[in-house]
Amino acid sequence: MGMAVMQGGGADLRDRPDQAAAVRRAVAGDREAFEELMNTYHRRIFAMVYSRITSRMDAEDITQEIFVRAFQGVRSLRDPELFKSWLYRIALNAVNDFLRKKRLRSIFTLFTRERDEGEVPDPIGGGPDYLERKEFWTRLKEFFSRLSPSEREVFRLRFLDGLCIREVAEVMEKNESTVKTHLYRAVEKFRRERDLSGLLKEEMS
Amino acid sequence: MSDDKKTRCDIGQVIRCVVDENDLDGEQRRHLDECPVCREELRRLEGGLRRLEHTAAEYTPGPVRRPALPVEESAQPHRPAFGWRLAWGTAFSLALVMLIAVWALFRGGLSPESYQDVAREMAEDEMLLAEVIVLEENPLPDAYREISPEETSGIDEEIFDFIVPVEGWSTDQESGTKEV
Repeated sequence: MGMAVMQGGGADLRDRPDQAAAVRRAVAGDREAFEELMNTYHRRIFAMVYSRITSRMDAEDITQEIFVRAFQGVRSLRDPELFKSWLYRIALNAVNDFLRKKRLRSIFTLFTRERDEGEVPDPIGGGPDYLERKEFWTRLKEFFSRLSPSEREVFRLRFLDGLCIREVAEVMEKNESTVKTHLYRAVEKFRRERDLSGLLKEEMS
Repeated sequence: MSDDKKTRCDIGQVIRCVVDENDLDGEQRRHLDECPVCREELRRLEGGLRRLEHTAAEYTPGPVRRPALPVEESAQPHRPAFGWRLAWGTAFSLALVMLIAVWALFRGGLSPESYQDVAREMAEDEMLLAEVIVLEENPLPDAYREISPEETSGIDEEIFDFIVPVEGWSTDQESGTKEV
């Protein structure tokens, strides 16, 4: 029967006592504990940012900003069990801030082709599969353009970032029923998606 | 496929199962377990989502640099303790300074000798001030006073008029109508 799709990335602190302890120490002001958490989440947060802005340089800068913001605010975290959702919320806000500023800049640069949300990845890293990558992100962008903003964000957090429903709800500050409704519509559209499916790679188990 | 089965095969159930299988009731779960069509649809949809995640992860570069945390924040855990110490230290120092000042002022009042010293200093200050006022009025030594402008104030005003003509003089001269 149906399995829970992609629970790996969604393992939460309630199932990770060691990480929960690190969060508690970080909240108490332990820098090393925070660095430990940063090592755990750095790659995931970077991937989350990159999938939304598809610029490696900007993703590096935004990831840096996210961890600085988190470090400065971790002492105010009331419930250490919500660390992951809290961190992703900071990340989501940072990405949205970046995209908002970018859109604003683009108003004043009419003749400059500005890269917008979901544009194809920058050529840094090149590689033999560059065109495939470019095609994938382009198709993904087209798919997302057919979703509403809420559907898009819920779908990304759930199926690209690997958060569970409860965590998605916490990040987006919505209740779980609302999240499920958006997710249902998004999955329904994904099911009908044909352009993207041909580009998806098989998993190597 | 029977009519009954057709009505029970609902793609909505499959999607709900993908979103959250706990939302299905027992009968719906049993149907998904038993129905090959729905099972195939579920397998295809879940496989597609897994491959999407996998492909996105594969096409995402790894971060190059590790985030650097602000250095000054490293002292953050100790900051409150330091802040309290600093506040107490400042308050104590101020209290000590005020205590010494008050003690010095009211140690036992001023002695008669002290009053005389103060009076003498005040008289000297007044003399000095008088000299300053005199110098301010005329800073020149006596030898220079005779040739200073103050001593030549008796010169006829006509000479000044000749040197510095009054307004209207030059105009009249040019027109040739001025009578001296």
